[in-house]
Amino acid sequence: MAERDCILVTGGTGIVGTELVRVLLLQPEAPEVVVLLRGAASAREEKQAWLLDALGLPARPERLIFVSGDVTAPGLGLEAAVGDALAARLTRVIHSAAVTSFRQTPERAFLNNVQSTRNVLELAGRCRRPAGVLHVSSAFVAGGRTGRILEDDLDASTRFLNEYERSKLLSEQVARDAMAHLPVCVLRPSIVVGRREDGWVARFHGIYQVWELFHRGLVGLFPGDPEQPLDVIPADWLAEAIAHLALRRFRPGTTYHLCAGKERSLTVAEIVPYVISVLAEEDPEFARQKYPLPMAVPWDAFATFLETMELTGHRRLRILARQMHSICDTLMTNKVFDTAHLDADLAGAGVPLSRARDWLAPSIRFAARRHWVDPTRRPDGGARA
Amino acid sequence: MLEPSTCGLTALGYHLPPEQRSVEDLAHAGLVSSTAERLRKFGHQFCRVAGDTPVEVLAREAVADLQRRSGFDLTKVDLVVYGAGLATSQVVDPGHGYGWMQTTNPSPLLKFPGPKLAASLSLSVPVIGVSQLACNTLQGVMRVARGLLAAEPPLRNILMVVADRLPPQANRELVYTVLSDGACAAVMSRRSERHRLLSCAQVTRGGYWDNEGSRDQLIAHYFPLARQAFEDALAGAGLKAADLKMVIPHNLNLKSWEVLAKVLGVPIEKVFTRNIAAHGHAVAVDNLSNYVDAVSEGALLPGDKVAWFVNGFGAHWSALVMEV
Repeated sequence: MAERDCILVTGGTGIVGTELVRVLLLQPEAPEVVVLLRGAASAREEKQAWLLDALGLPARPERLIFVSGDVTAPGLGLEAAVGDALAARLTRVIHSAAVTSFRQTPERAFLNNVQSTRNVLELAGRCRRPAGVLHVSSAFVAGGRTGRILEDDLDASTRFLNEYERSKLLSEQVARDAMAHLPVCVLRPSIVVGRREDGWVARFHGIYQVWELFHRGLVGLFPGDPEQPLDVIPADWLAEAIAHLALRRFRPGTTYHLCAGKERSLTVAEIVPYVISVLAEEDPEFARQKYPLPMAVPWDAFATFLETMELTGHRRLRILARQMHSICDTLMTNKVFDTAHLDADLAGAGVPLSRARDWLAPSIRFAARRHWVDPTRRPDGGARA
Repeated sequence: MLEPSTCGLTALGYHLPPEQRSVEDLAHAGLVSSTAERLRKFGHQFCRVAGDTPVEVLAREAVADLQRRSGFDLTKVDLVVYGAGLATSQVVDPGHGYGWMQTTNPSPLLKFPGPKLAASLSLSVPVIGVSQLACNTLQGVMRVARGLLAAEPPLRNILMVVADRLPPQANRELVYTVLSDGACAAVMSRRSERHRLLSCAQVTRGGYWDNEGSRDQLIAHYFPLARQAFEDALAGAGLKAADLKMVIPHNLNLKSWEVLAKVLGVPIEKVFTRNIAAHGHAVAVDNLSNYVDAVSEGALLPGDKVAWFVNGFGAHWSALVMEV
């Protein structure tokens, strides 16, 4: 009888990792899922309890194993015996841990996203059986490039819009270099939002910050092309796709855009009124305000606006304008992610994705109902996971 | 029945008090919130201050300027529409701690500058007041005048006057813009060969009535609502932005116009921004004073199409299109 798969998931309490753990535990092949948790014992306990709650599990299933560690530390910060045990049992490593803030220093971004990848690959290299590594990168390693981006493209000379993008490209280079001696594939999600059914997602990052500013009536202008598609994917679909590629269709040496692609994406001109209409349905007070639709304007117009807000010296106005610029600079640079590899390997897998209009609303509602405090946060802003 | 496009302005004039104060003066006197350096970066250098001159005298001076420029015979005026952007008797009750609310004598609150102006001009014609439009008052007055001409055939010429003066100790800065005192006057006539009003549009968002409480939203939504009013006015005239010879601004700070011009799709060179530095923002007067200056210096010629734009607390965004 074949041994059961044993999968290490890093970033198990993150946007991708939380949903991935849930989906892996629901797989018929029933792999063991090892989740690496960072921090002191009390913090790990809290994270563990949070994750079980997030997974809707009253108690920890046998197949779910928590280990103490830190992806940024040598040997993942594992106790020696734990490291040895994992090296003996692991069949897959899904490295989804990353710090996604656009405002990290280069040093922090390197440690969080590049060194961590090296550490994960080092553990994979120690495994007794060749453990396939699925490195969760980002579609935004394309940086400031525009137009159609192919899955095999990786251009280190591109203009990076923030340290997150740069560090994700460097980490992907590390993963690609390792393909010479390890079975590694690279997964590049685009903008991840909540589950299609109920909108649940662990963290409100990236596009959620824009939606929140819409909800608060604090956005009039943002930079971007109205006709640009905005590639958004639901966390549950992403997790199912990763599970399929990990368990049933693992192809080392392949890079995948885990993206919706142009046809299933809404354009900027479509998504703005869509989001506003969902917020208006969800929140009568917002509907009553009848805020004007935020406008996509050319980059030079927004640059002048940003410069003007800087001149005001008004802290809140400056922060708001900078925040919009930073997010839009990353998410709204006009590009289309090609998905040829993904389409081929998901064919017949039963992991379909329809147009965003069909499933996006629950994500907006979920966040608005929580007043934009994500599930990893306490109402007072403190971290739970 | 009146064809709206046949009515227009047959006489125009304005008055800004001669006393100029620099942004440095104002900052030194504590009459602005920002530093002088910041206000200069926003394109402001001076404002005009009326001192002790009553607002109705400013109004009278504007009418005198109108007469000097056009020679218009005031005996042909059938009605006066008088507007003021700062209407202390019209504001939402600010509570008992606010000075004029403590008055025990309501009579001063019932003495109006419009009738007084009419009397000083020896005009025995009806006077109608327009308020609550702040900087949009002139465009509101023009809209009312046009409507009256359309509705009441005996009316031929309506004298429109708008005047404002801030209290002497008032802070003269709002939203990085320096405020001036001043007045303007124009006659809207049933038939005019020049300065014909082709269309006008107004967007009001009462949700921003509390301009301090909704400041961030107001700043955020300024540009989209400005574009809405501008495009509505253009559509009403059957024109596109490219058809305009010029955009006549209110003298909000220059930086805001640099952004707005891009949002409207109009080159900033087409926006008559020359007076922002020297005049400051004279509440509801700017559109007309800028228009008069642009015509006087030959920057606008008969047949040219221009758009006026203004935003004011309330909050209102207004635009109109004229044929010079």
